[in-house]
Order: sequence, then structure tokens, then C-alpha cells
Amino acid sequence: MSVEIRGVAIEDTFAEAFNMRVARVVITARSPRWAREAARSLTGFATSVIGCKCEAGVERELGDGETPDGRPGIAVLFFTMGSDDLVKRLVERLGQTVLTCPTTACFDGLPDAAERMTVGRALRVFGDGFQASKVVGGRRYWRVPVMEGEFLIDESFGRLKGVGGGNFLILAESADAALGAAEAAVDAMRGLEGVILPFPGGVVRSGSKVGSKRYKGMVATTNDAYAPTLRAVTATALPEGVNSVLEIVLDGVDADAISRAMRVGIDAACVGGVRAITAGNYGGKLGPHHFHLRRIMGAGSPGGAGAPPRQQSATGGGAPPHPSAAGGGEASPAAPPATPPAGPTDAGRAR
Amino acid sequence: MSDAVVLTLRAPLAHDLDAECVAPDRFADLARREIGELPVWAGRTRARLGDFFAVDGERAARVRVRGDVGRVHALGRGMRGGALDVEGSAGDAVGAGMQGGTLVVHGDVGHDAGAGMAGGVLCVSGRAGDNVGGARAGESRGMSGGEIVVRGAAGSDAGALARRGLVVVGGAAGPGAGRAMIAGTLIVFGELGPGAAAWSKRGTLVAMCGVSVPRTFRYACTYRPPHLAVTLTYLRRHYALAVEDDHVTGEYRRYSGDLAELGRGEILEWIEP
Repeated sequence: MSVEIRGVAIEDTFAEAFNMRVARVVITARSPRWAREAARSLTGFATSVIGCKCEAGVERELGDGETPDGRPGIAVLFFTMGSDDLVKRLVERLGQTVLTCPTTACFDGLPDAAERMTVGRALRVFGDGFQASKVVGGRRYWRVPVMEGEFLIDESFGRLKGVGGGNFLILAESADAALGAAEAAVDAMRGLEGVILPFPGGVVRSGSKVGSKRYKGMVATTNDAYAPTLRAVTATALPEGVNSVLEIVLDGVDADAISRAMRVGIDAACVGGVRAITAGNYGGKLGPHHFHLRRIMGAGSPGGAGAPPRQQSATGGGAPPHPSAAGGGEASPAAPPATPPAGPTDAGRAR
Repeated sequence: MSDAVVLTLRAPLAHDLDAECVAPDRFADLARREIGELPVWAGRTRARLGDFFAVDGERAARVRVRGDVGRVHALGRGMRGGALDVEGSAGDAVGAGMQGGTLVVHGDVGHDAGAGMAGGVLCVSGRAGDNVGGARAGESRGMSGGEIVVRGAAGSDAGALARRGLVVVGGAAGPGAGRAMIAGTLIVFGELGPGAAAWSKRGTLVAMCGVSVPRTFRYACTYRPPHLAVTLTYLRRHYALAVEDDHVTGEYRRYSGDLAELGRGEILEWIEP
């Protein structure tokens, strides 16, 4: 049984994702320009925990009425694998990128989270004893004197269990088609609450597999099963006619946020020149969160719930899916895979 | 169990009444009869709350007081939680030493409102007397936490000796506002009397209508204090205070002092654009 959206095949597979720790940082500034500058620096070189120790991205821009100081702001989501890592990375990065940026202030975006990290308390010592605190509405803020005036930061930041590694792959006839579809997906997903796309422009061209066939010590190497230039010399997973693959990777505050964003993104990526949408996993053995593509798109994979499946002919057509048509509970808890993965048929998740 | 306990004054009072027992957290476990039996002091005479107030409802942490209780003192003194609404003016020491909960007075309050307060919220829609948020008699420290919002004017020594917490005065404040503050924040939207912030150690006095800066304070700079934007935005959203945009986004002259003391306090004087 094939499932298609506007002629694009939705493969019967799932994205495998992991538990991470997440913080939401709200940066405000005198103007949106400086909030963006700080957010850009803060989230720079934060694409993958493998090489960057954290993953971060802009969640969305905030209006004057959404920030503690009534100024324009930006919400950034910050992910690490461990709780201690999150504190370290936040202290390092906020200290170097937000404290240093003109006119900014920095606030906790998860004030109701029970787990707290005393990030502002750690950064306050930059004030060399001249810092001072204020309690407003039950929250303690630190005022750190700087050359420009004062830097303000929440004493503590909340921490939640998040989900990292939601993904889908766009298998296209050409590099241009893949890029166009990826851009459409990213444009549709940007600004959705609770998710970030940590890679450049939200897109990954170098999906990887775990380990190496040749080099010991390499944590991750090219995902040769999905590399078009290796089609003839490796156990390829590429359907006929696919000449370029791009991946969208998502981290979210919870599985529902990732499911919602994947649904929007996949739908937007189903455009001309795209042959199929698939996802990366480890056969279900490593990550506790499984995002079944067909279930997310409301197309009823095994055990799937929600709206009736959009089964279409191979020639495509039919109405575009409505974002709200899919049922909930798309992410299923981990269970032993019914069939062990046979070789590198699914896109590797290590990046 | 009722939604609320309502205390209605039976007749106008001919003398002052000390009704410290009126605190919502204490009423939460009491039956109607037990509430009526709580002790009050009419001058030097011990009496029962029920002698002066009709009690309606029981076992509720929400309390309403009805009638002209301007001569009833110590309402909500030491309260730890719940909600107390006074539907009119109240006497002295309202919310003094309170540690939690919300106390709203829909009128004026006397002296020592919120004195020695450690937590919770005290809102006064009218004016406050002297020493709002200050120290209780015999104590060396004023309020140590919580928030006091007086929409009208305040008497002398508002926020004097405060250790922590926030006091907001919507109107003018009398002499000695923020006197000898140890820390905390006092915001005055109206005019300030003489001696404001004198002997302050670490506290913040925000003056929206000018201030006579003590000679023991020194000018530091003119800037936009980021913590004040947070505080004023919070007051606007949480208390629906009519804070002007120019107050939130505007510039302030910062004076450090009191240099005869620790010198880590500040006066922030708003500059009208």
C-alpha cells in the first residue's frame, strides 16, 4: 500500500529521537535587530551535540507584550544530552554572546519548570562585587554593571526533558528540487512553538551513520546509503530517480511539538521534483521516541490513529492534507523492532 | 465549608478595635461559631469578634470585611495565606507582619500598613498613612519581602528601613520616603518629601516626579535601568497600574548613596522627555 501526498511517497518508516534536556532563553533588546544579533551569536555553532556539545536555535520572535520587560525579544531553545551539560553550556554561551551584546537582557523562558539552573547566579560574578539583585514578582534578577550600562539576567533558568533528533529526509530528483522542498519545509516550520531546527538554515546535507566502515574512532561518517554518488558502490537506500537528499532535523520541548512540526514540514516539502519522504532511525533500538511518518501525516500506519489515511495513486493528485487532520499520539514509545534493520537501510541519526 | 467568610460590621464603632484575629489562613479551619468567638480588643477590654461583626460563612481562606472599619486595626496582621478583602477603609497596621496571601483594601489605610511584612501582597486603592512597609515599633528592620501597592498618596517614612520587597506609591510620599533602606525598592509616582533615601544602604528609590537628592548621594550616570523596565512592566500587567510608556522606556538619572552609609543604594530619577 503506497501513501502519497501530491505525488510524493511517504515511506512506511519512523524517525527515532532521544531524550534531551532543554532550556528556553528569552533575549530582549532595545530593538529587534540587537535581539537577533544576540540570538544569532548564542545559537552559532550549535548544530549537533556530537561536535558542538549542544544544539540550539531560535524558536520564534516575541512581541513587546510577551517579554518581561516589554521590549522586543527572541525565544531560543537550548538542548544538551545531560543536565549538568546544559548549565555549563548556558553559562559559557550566555556569558560570551548575550552579556556582551549591546542593550540585551536575558530571561528564563520556562519559569514554571521545577528543575532550576542557577545560570544568572553564576554569571553575576562578572560584576566583580558591584552586581546587585532585585526580586520582582517572585523572580530574582541580577544586575551586572557593564560599560554600556547594566546587563540584567534571571538568577535561575528552568529545565525540562525535551526531545532531540526528530527528522525527515527529502529524496528528490535533483539538488535544486531537494533544496526548494527543504526551504519550503523550513519556511513552514519556522516560528512553530516548542521546536527548533538547529542546522544551518534548518537543513542538513550531510546526514551520517553511526561509526565508520574504515576509520576507528570516528563517531559518525557519511550516510553512504543515501549518498547519490555512491549508489553504484554501496548498499543504497535510494529509490530510482533520486539524485539528491536533504534532511530536516528538529529538537522540541516534547514529542507533541515535534510531531506537529514534522506534519507541517513534510506537507510543505511535498512538491514537484520530490520523489519520497523518509526518516532516519536506528531500527528503534536506541531512541525512546518514534515518529512514524504515515501516522504523523494522518495516513494510518500500523496501529495508527487519527484521520482517514490519504492513500493516493502513484501519479499523485488529491487535496493537500490539512495540518489538523492527523490524529494525536504520533510518537510511539520505544518497543523492540518487529524486524531488525537489515543493514544501513535507514538514514543514520548521528550527526 | 463556604466560598468565603463575610464579616459585616453590626454598628458604627464608637472606639478603636484591635482585630488581629482577622486573617484568612486562621479562618480556614474554623466553624462560624468559632470565628465569632475569636478575641478582639476594644481599648483595654477583651471582647469577641462576634460582638461587633456578623459572621457569615465558615472554613474558608477567603474573607470579606464589610462596613466602615476605619477604626478597626491590625486586620490581616501576620496572615500567612488566603485572601482578605476589606470593602472600605481600614485602620492602622493593616497587613503588618504578613507573610503570605493577598490583602486588598478598597479605601484608605492608617499608619504602619504592611510594616514588618515578610511576604504576600498588600493593595490599597486609596491612601496610606505613615510608615507603610516600614519597621514595626521596636524593630530595626522594615519589610523583608512581599509587595505593597498604594494607589494613592502615602505619609512619612514609606519603605523606611526596608530589607527587601517592593513598595509602590501611586501618589505623593511624605518626608523620609525610603529612609535608611537596607535593600528593596520604593517607587513613588508623585512628589517626594524631604529626606528621601537618606541613610540608605542598598535600597532603590525611584522618583517619577523629581527628588531633592541628599548631599550624601553622588550622580553616576543617565541611563535606562533594565530592572526598572521589568518592574514597571510587571506592575502594569499584574496590578493594572497606569504606568506610562515613557516611564518604562525612558531615561533616569542615577545617584549612588548614601555615601555616609554603605553607599550601595541608589536614587533613580526619571527624566521627562
